[in-house]
Amino acid sequence: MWHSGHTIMDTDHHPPISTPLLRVANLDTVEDVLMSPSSELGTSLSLSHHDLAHFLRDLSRFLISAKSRPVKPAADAPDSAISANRGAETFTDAFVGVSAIPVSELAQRQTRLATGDATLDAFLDGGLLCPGVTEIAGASGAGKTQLCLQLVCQAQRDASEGGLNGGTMYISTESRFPVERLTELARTRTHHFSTDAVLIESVLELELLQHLLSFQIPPLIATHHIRLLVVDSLTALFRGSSDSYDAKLQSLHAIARTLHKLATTYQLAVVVVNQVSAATDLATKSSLADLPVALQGPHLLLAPGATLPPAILVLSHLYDQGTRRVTTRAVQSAAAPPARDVPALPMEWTAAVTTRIVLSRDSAIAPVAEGGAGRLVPRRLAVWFSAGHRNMADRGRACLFHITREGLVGRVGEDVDGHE
Amino acid sequence: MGFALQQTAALGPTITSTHPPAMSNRPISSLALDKAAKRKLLAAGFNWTKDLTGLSAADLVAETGLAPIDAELVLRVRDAVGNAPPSAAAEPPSVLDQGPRNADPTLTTGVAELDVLLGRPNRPGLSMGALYELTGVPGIGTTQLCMQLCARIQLPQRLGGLYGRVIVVDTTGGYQASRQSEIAAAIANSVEAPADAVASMLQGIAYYRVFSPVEVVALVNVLPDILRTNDGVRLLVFDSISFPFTGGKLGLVQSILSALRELAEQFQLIVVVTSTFVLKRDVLGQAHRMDPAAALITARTGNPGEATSKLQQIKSMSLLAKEQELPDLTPVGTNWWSNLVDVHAMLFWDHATRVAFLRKGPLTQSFARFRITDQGIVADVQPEQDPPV
Repeated sequence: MWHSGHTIMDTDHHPPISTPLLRVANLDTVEDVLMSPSSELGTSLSLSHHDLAHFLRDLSRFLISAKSRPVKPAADAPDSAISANRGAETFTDAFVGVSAIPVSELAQRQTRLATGDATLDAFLDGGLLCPGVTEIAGASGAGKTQLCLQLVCQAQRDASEGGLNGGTMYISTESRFPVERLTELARTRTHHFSTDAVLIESVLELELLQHLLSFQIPPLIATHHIRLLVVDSLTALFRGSSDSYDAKLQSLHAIARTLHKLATTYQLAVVVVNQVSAATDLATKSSLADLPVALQGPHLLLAPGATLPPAILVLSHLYDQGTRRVTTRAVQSAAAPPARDVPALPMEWTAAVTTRIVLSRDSAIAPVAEGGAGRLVPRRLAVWFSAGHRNMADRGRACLFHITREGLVGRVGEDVDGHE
Repeated sequence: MGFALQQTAALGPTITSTHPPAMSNRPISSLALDKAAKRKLLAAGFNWTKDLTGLSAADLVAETGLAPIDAELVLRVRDAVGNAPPSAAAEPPSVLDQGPRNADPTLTTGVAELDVLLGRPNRPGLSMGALYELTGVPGIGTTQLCMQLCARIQLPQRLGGLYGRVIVVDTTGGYQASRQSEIAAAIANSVEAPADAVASMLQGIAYYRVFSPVEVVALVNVLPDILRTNDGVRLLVFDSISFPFTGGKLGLVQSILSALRELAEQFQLIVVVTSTFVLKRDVLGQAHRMDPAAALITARTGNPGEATSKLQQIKSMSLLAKEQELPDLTPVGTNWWSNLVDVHAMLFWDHATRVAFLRKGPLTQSFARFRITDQGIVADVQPEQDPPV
């Protein structure tokens, strides 16, 4: 479909550029022209430097003020409920114009989604950023999905209670969505919880996620008053994809941009679940065969199938890469608190999130017995970085919490060093 | 500046300096002139009517950018004031009024070490007409440093500002108005500004949110128009310049930065862009797989109470000085645009301290340490430690 985006015919520009010339240069849309290197443009359109600059400026002005000019629908455009952007190829490419607002006004558009637990919310300065893209990372069983479900409940509450008065779009990529746990949580947490306001979508491939986000979700946001979007988890899609690493990285960037655009355009809180790399799952691995390849060096003198003692929690960063020997420093620090979980998505993804929350099970602290019902595993929630939660690193703290039938419950009065 | 000077001869006889010196002196802010004219006068460094003594309308037009008709009006008002008895009810100058101006003013960050790092020899601070790049690991404070500059640029020159307004282009969604407000309030407090100063500081920052690469390109193409209709803009922030172009389009950033350099020179702006680190690629262009070591440097290690021992510090700093890079990490623009910026600083963790390292610029200082508090970016005051025995 070559009629995507804003065609150059939509613009008034001087001097007029002949259409055949544009077609020969394979330039159909405003976007095509602006993204071409200007050195090529000058020659392919036979424009002088001055005329080219003028042309580009006209097109740019048009794009910036696109809100006032509805895009003409293309002949074969899909029937879309995105009225402002009919004819655009994908939601990401569609424009609603670019305009400035003074920062004094910006504050009114930025709010928070609380977790519903007073201690955690106090720790999080009110909750997750909305609009914002928050990553929740942690090992399996750390409590990521539990936290997401709690946010689903909270999203339906009123703004005065730290909610967003809206429904949820929950994109599930691994296991079956835990409906029963959600209804159990909702029973104890929210009064007027409506399961109709929670849309669940299952996605198994990375490219399909981009398609879902760009095409199917925007109309649903309007009809179901969605204010929370959860992707649980993104790591599974990334690992499961059979594309090359670079191709996967490109998809990841496109998804990141789409998530941000959705968040800002529709005032959503976006939550992306990430897992941690295999290196730190050592505590739970019991046989040598399960160890990541990097550790299967000749200097680890353990019989195959032997249990790796927790005391020798050696992580690959403590290896001397050159000689592939474990340093004494490594053994010493193994006695120290466990090293930081390493989020599994590539480093480039880190730039795309506004907040990174890391959940972990705290083995250093003894579990608390909850009157006969079994022992509660102590967990910690740390904020590694966030645009909206200042000083987390300098404060160096984590918030301890348990997971009960009612959901995540923060432990009051315990400030713990947020180790790494 | 981007305007043409008109011939004043066509408008009639100019007002010359044959008048006796002004018998009274009034602050410009108290004169009966419209706000835009006052703003231009203050921005050019005229605070009192006595500053206007001996100037012709042509001089004023050249110094302030006022239209000739307005310049004539100003001089008429000056003369009227000069003949009037001093007014007892003259408005005292606000602490935020522009004071006497330097020939070569710079914008200070508020942290002396950072000013030296980013400045020129004997001229600490950021200079107009220059392009600055801040590459930082997530959470180190690049956006907050930009916010601090956004607030401080609005201060008068004697307080380290440039009495100018700001355009912020946010491409990552990391710009939180509440935090900007907090930082502005801390700065206003430190200079004992009146209560409405924070609101007017926020009013002076225009915020653009863009998502896709073509929006950035279009906005940069339109900026000359924007800057011409909004005079008084002295700072342009792009946070971040690299994020929209990740995933294959980094080459476009080159032309954008060239355009920004021209804008900086033409309109005498300070342009600050932020960027991120990426994993180093080997000769074949293959990125290393995520090394946990890289993760540790991008995050804080060590306890808050722990002070890095001096010896450790010297060792790690000299390692960095040798490589000018972090192990495994390199700024995203390394092979694309590093030659286009005037000053390039890298921000990252050295154990429990935040460090700024000068990768390119007039070499006055290579490293600066800083902390972040509720008030914003502040100096890092570390007690001197003896190296371990």
